Amino acid sequence: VTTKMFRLTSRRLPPALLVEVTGEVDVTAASDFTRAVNDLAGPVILELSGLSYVDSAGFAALDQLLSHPAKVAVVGPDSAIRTAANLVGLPYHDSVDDAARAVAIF
Amino acid sequence: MGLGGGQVGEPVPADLGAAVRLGGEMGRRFAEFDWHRHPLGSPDTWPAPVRSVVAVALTSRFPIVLWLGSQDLHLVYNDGYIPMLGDKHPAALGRPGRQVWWDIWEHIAPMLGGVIDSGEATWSDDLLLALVTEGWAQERYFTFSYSPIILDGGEVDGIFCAVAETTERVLGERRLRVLNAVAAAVMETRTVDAVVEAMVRVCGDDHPDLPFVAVYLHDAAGTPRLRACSAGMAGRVPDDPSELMEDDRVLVLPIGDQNTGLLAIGLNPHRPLDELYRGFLRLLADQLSAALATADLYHQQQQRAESLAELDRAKTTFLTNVSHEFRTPLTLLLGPLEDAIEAAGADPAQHERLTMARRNAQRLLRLVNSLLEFSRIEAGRVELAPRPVDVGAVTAQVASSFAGLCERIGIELVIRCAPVSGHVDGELWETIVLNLLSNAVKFTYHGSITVTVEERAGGGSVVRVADTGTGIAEADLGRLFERFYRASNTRGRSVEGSGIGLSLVRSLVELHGGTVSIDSALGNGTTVTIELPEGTATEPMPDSSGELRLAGNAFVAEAEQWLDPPPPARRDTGRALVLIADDNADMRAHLDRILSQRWDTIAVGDGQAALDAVRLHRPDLVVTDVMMPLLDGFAFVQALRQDAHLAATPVLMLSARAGAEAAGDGFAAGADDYLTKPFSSAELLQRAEARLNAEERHRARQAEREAHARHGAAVSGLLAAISAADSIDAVLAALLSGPLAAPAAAIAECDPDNGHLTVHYGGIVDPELRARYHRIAEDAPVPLADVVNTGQPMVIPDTGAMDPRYDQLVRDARPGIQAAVFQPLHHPSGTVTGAVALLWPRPRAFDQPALRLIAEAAAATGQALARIATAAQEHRIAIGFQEHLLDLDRGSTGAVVAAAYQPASETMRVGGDWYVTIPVRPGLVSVCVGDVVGHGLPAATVMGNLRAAVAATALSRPDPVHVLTTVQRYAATVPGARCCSLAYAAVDTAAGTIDYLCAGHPFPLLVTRDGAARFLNHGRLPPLAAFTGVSATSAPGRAALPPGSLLILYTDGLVERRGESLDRGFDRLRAAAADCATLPADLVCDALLTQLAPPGGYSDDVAILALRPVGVTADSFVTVLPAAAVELAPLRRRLGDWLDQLGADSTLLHNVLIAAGEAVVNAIEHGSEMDATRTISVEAFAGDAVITLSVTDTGRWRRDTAASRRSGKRGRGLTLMHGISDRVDTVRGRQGTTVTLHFQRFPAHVAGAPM
Repeated sequence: VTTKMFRLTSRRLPPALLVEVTGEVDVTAASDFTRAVNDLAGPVILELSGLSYVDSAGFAALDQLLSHPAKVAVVGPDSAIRTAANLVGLPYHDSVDDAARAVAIF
Repeated sequence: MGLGGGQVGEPVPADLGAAVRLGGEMGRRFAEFDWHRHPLGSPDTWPAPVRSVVAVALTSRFPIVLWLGSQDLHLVYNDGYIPMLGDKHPAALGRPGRQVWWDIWEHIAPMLGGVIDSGEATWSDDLLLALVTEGWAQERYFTFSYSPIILDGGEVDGIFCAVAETTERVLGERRLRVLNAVAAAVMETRTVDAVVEAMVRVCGDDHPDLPFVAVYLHDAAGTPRLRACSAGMAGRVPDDPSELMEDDRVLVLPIGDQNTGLLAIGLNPHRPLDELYRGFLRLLADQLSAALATADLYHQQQQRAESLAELDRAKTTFLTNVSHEFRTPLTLLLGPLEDAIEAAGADPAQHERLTMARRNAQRLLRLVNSLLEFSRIEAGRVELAPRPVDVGAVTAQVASSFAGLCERIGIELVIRCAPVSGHVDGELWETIVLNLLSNAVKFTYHGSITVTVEERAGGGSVVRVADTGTGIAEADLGRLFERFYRASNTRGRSVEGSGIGLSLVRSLVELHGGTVSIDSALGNGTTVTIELPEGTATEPMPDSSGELRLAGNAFVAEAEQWLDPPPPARRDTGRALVLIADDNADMRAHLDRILSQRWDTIAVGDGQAALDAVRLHRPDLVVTDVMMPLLDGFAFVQALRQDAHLAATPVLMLSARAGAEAAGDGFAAGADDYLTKPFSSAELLQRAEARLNAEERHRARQAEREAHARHGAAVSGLLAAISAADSIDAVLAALLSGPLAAPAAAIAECDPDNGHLTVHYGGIVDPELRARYHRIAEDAPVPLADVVNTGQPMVIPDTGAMDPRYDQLVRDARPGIQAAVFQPLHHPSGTVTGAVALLWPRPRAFDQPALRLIAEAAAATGQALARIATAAQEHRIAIGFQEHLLDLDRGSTGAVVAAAYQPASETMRVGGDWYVTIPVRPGLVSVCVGDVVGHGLPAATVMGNLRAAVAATALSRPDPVHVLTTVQRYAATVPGARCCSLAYAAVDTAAGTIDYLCAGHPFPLLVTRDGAARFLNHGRLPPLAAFTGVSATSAPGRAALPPGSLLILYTDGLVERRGESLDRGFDRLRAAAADCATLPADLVCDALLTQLAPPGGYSDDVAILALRPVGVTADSFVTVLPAAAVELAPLRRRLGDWLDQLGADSTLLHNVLIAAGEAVVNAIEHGSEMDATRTISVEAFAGDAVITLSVTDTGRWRRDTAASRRSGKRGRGLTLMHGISDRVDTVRGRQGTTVTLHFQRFPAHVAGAPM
């Protein structure tokens, strides 16, 4: 899925779907983002490390999406959004491997 | 690897060999270095000048670094230079300068390049270089010189640099300055609060080594409490210092001894906490400790001084009381004796006088005795002679001596004394019981006095004297046993007493090994309880009744003197009438006996009775004592003088207090003459006669006339006060304070629109009544409505006798209102506009003069109300105009505009100064500030006209000449617009120019990005429509308005100060404006208004307008956006580009974008309510250390709405904004809200905010 602001690239990582998100998710893109992710069925690992910008509306969207137990997020230590994610208390995994383990346990 | 000497990589040429050996570690490293593979090649191939410089460097103990090779500037350095490199050593040897000093390269590269290019040496003194040491940028200072290494051919092939690190000296100096400043600031402080305040204020001046300070002081429980912190940290410093103790960015130091408190200091993120830094902070804490200790000492000294003063007061009280007590009996001794000598006969009267003399002699004796006894106890000289007695029997015996007295005054004396054995001194015990009973009688008017003695549970006895008297206030209770202390305002039979009775009782009881306590409440009687220890009753109890009689009689006899006199009765013989007021029965009888020889007399026992008697009997002379219960002599005379009908009564005052001062008090209170006790009968007669003779009667009539005149003056004062009132409340206050003597009043106003009356109340009116009768229908059954309908007044002496129609109201108004007078209120045109009521709590009779006065007051009230209504209407209209005028159009996206209006005072809110912005087209906005002569509605009207004229003209053609010519022509036709001034500017933000004209108005001020402020002083015209003979056209001024600069238009109120040349005002403005170069426009207006305010506030009103064109420069970024979310992404790109060019690293860039994005989203959602026709401005400035970015909207952020709280969105946005910026300031301004974000440019080792 691609919009002007963000891009989702997905591949299978059984049992989950690994979705890499790049670009920006701000107040104007938040609802598109929510819709796009909601369209994905089954366990989903959202790899957010490549996002360059997420604002409070974006985090609100993520908050809602991640309330689903089968959806987890990854924000790597070097990610541009890592500080902001820490500040708003976004639950994330450091790496895709960690996230995959978590999904498997689930 | 080559050949030769051990591990040495390359053969070192001979001239360097010696230097290598002498060069310590770096000599060794230089020799071991693989120069063969290095771009500089083997040292033996280096030019001779270079080799000799290397030799100098390696052998020197002074820190030296060489930059070799003009291209890459490879580093060679000596041992002394190693500390500068920190962890870059030893890798730095031979590496290019750019790689080694990447962290300060932007600072030193130009200097190095300059030396290579020109050969000219540089000199840097205490230069700040933020060296990255151990992974973080540290603030360090260096003094160094770069000098060229010149080859034989004259070309520069490297740089020689001797460098000294001066960090310690620079930091030491600036820290010493802080310590000095703190010492100076706390020097004059006297309280703990002042010390803490001074400390925090001095340390709060943005000192790099003290980012913040917070002072915690222990409370009584030993818990540290935040007392003060640096202004910028208010609300961010935790209440509990233990949170700070765990924070490595903060140092917490104890102050004073263990119980004083803590000093928390934010640490400089760019300096390690080394011993010097720590020592400095300790010194700071020591200074605070010392200052707090001094303040504490001062406080203790003050307390000591206060207790000494208290002691002194007790002494004075004692002397005053004793003097009174001695002098009165003295009078009573001398007077009768003198009479007795004169009479020298043996008649019944003689007998009476002698009894009196004896009685008072006994009393004096007793008083002196108890004083002596008391001082003996104090001095420990009393010898107790305890004997085993039946405490119950002894007590009952003493108490029964009061039986006869109690019976006469109608108080039941209950004596319930069980036989209990104990050891008491009969004489002293008698004193104890007599004192207690005498007190009880003194303060008991009804009910009973109960004396009980019973066995105490654990042995011993309990004696109680309980009365049902006036009781003692709680505040006095604790001090009753103090020597000479007398409860104030207690109603008793007499004010006589020295204040030693209870104190004596306690001393005597304690002498017996017992305790005494008192239990009382005002109005609920008093119980004194004595507990005595167990006696060893081995001996039979002797009967001691016979010894008690005499002493008991003295107490009882004295108490008899307090009894109320029989009601005064006039013996009407046609002689002049003298009123005698004295609380002592003997004294009263004595005075009566003397005065009744010549005049008729009435005698009363207190001031209140005297006042009543004066009203009833209108005596020709009053003879009064000073110290009396209920109302003392002074208050009585004062009350007399204030009553117009009684004011002329002559007063002769008697007092035991001697001296000119006491007499002065008497005269000041209004007494006509003053006589000091003791006095002779002849003296009294003579003085009284003088007051009563014909001449004095004449004077009395004169005084009555004067009182009449005073009354007249009060009436005209009342009418003047009503006429001057500027509100209904002020009218009510005037009605209540004047000679109408009504405790409450009401004014009803007709509301012609809905047929109701609105009633305003003043004075003592039950709140429920106010609420119920605040709005009443015009046909309601209340007198106010009837008076409005009929236009006729109503006089109600007693509401109990009113028409049944008013029953409901009468019930609601009782008991607070039982008499009233109602008058209609008339507009000057004659129509009835309302009614006024004067209300009294008791029925009363109204005489004709009183009713006439009320009618006059009502007429004045009617006129005042009409005037108040007109003024209020005018004010409302004028404010409406003003608010319209102050509405600032911020629709232009070409420039940020802000404006402020400051009235000279609240009452002059309307009028005078104005401003307007006109967004003519994209890229062109016109602004104008003007000053209209005068204030009030006419000025507001002119203002509105001129503003509309300027706006309309500018919209059609914005050039200044066209606008001013048109407005000049228009002004000539508008009355009141003559001589008004204005400054007009057309701002072309695309071209970056401003065209302007000032008509008799102060010049616009331009502040450029470099902080320079200058007045634009071309384009001058005379004030509007003034000097019409002169040509009213002039060439407009033109100036460049580069991006990031600031244009300020204002009125003269901002710069003018009384008694000062205008030039000084302009200089002040220029200096203040220069400081505003990097403030967001919205805050510029307030900052200037605050900074330039004269000490007493502005005496004239002030309008001020600030404009900053949009645009981007290397260190500023200014833009205005429509309030729409689609603008967010483009804003981020542009802001990102600017930050990139600033050289911001990716973390800083990302942080600024996130925090700014949240601020802008908030401005769109909450400040502009998603209205895209509104605008949002963003103003960012890059300083040396800090980037500030301000977002201003045109509305007000509502505090978290329920919806935003529910979604958590708003909270998350604020979290991000505050968490990512180093500081967030929010200012809710006049036209919108400005949020300013601060970011440190240094990538400090601390991420996020310090807290």
